[in-house]
This record gives sequence, C-alpha cells and structure tokens, in this order.
Amino acid sequence: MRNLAKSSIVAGAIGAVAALLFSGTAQAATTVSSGHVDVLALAYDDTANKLDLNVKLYATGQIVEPADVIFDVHSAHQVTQANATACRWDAGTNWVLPRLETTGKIWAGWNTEGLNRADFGGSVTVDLLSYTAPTGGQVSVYDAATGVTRLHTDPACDDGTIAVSESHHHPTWVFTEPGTYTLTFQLTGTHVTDGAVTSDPVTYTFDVG
Amino acid sequence: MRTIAKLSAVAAAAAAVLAATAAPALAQGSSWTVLDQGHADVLGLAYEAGELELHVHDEENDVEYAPSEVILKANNEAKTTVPAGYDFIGTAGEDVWILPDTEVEGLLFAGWATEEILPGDFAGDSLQITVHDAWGDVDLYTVDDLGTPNVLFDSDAGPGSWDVTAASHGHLNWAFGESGLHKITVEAEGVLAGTGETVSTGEVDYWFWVEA
Repeated sequence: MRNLAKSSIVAGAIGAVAALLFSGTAQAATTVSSGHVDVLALAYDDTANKLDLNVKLYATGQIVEPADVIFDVHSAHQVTQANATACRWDAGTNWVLPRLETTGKIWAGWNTEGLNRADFGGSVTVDLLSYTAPTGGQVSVYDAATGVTRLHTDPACDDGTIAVSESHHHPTWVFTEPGTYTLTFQLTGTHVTDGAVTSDPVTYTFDVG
Repeated sequence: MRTIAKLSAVAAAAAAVLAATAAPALAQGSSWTVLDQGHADVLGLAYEAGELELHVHDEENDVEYAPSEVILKANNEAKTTVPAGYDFIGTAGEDVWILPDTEVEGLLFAGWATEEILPGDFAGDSLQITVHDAWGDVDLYTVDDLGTPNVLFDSDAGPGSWDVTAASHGHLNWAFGESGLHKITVEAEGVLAGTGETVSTGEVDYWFWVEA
C-alpha cells in the first residue's frame, strides 16, 4: 500500500525531489554518496505473503525505503574511457559504482538476507518495470570478473531482469550520462508453498554527476 | 619438489587438524581455529605501541586471531576452472580453487584491512603488503570494473607487493592450483610519518587448507 501510494505520487510528480516534498515529512530523505550500501535488500513477509525491496545502509545499520533514499553518484565516480564497450561503457565520461569497495565512492550491492532463497527455488527475480534517464543515458549492471550482464536499460543488452541467486553480492554499476535516473523495480518469486509472490513496484533515484 | 613432498604428506592426512602434525612449526601446543566461510580480513594490519602487526579478523564473529592460530580453508565449492584470459593462473580449463573478491555463500571472503592504522601515522598514509613466498601454485589478484586482472602475487614470478591506504579495507582473489596445505609468507611495512623510520611486521606465515 505504502509503496504503491509513493509510486503513484512519483509518476505524477515532476521529479523525485518533488515527490519527497509531497510524500510527507515522516522520514527525511537519506543521501548516499559513499560507502557500503545494498541497493536491493530483498525480503519476504511470510504473514502478508509479500516480497519487498529495501535499502540497507551499512554505515548506520539501517534498512530504509528506497523512496527515502537518493544515491548521489558524484564526480568522484567519473571514469573516462577512450573507447566504448558494447553494453558496458560509453566512450568518454561514465559514472561508475565499482565492484570493489573504494574510499569515497558508493559500494552498491544487493542481498537476500530478508528471505530464505531455498523457499524460492534458489533465486528471486528483480524486474525493471520502467526507468527514466537523461538523454542517451543507459544503466549497465554487470559482473566484471565473469563478464555476465546482470541488468541493462537497453533491451538489446539484457532482458531487464536480475536473477538474484546470491546471499550478498556487489556488481559494477555504470551510468553513461549525467542527470537523474529513476529505476522502478518489482521483486517476483515462486514460493515453494505459496506460489507466485511479488512486491509492490518500488522506485529508486540516482543523481548522477 | 618441495611442494610435492609437502602436498603428499597432506594428502595422507584426513583433515586440517591432522595436517598440523605435518607442520610442527605451527603447533606449539595451541589449538587452531578453521575459518572456511564468511567475511574475514585475513591481512589485517594494526599499528599499536610502536609495533606493526598482522592479524586475522573474523568479521562474522568479531574475533581476532594471530595468523598462526588459524587455518584458512578453501572449501571444495571453490573448485572451478581457469577462466580464459587468466594465463598467469594457468591454462584455461585447468582445475583451480578460487576464493573470490566478492562474497560467495559458503566460501571464505578473505580481504585485507588497515582500519587499525590511524591516518597520519604513516608517510602518505600508505603501507605495503608483500607476499614473499607460497607453497604450491598460488596467485593473488584483483579484477577491475573492465574485467582486467591485476596480479598482486604470482608464485611462479617471485615476491609480489601492493600498496594499501591507512584506515581502509579491500578484497582480492586467492587462486590455488592444487588442493592441500599451502603456507603463504607475508610481510607488511610502512614508513612512519613522524620519524621516517621503516617499521615492518617481519615475515608472517599464513596457512591455507584447500579442500580437494
């Protein structure tokens, strides 16, 4: 309910900042600009039979609503590439959340600590329902060590879903243009006894550059 | 040759505890703790009371050990094959056991840490970790966001060093070409900002058990 209400507001508002202003003052927005954060902290509520997407902030130990977080991908994340790599990087400036913890940068991962993956056949799926990006901007999420694309906003690169089979994992995240990106995700899975379960759609905001 | 003899001795042993008898230098009557999964800062640096030290910090249980007190175990789930483009490890397709630089359930997630090094204590807030030697075929490396490996230590190429920043933390890949017991000899050093004096941990032995 809460998440749906927030998504509706976001859809109707000019931008994420406006949405935060109108969504009430119960929780101030948290800006994440460095350090360890699990962007996709995945959880299952057995009683409600609902999945949920949260954000885990290791600096404070808090688990917060994605709508209350702005990821500030500031200039320290800039990486310049001479040549483009398909489904990865643009030539020129990209903004990169590195796969390994790096001082001064966001270390962005995901975890399934809030659910028992075995109850979901070993993995759950994060679906990218929709996104907004600056002109020409793409988001690439991949495992550099294995070369596997986990998510890409370009349908030519990826099917728009992340199969999360890890308890805890950190991929590389690349944003190819500066500007504001919103990614709206829904978590889905098949529970061993309860069948198909989903989360509400949840919108994440990345302020790049 | 040395390696084969040691590995044979180990192969005859049923478990890491038995392996202790094959490495009497370790024993000293103390018991060992086996760390085989979860987050451990294996190369944990601390500078206290004028001494630079290496220790092992089990982040799962928040317990600190001397390197001589622990067996760092690569479970057999770490067994994989050498990926293409990793010639420094071996020929693509050969068996290798890798403890990766990102957390994988059921495997030891082994990193380095300088969180007990205060900024300002060392010149440039920089220290150096050197791996002098390892039993068997051992490669330590990181992989950047383009997928390019950076080799920190290759037992085929002699000692390997890398710089670390004070009050920091990082992870690396540990690749073992064979199962069995591996001793890895490590030293850390840095130049004190106040005096210009170089302080070192001396050579410290770490013990890895790679499950067949």
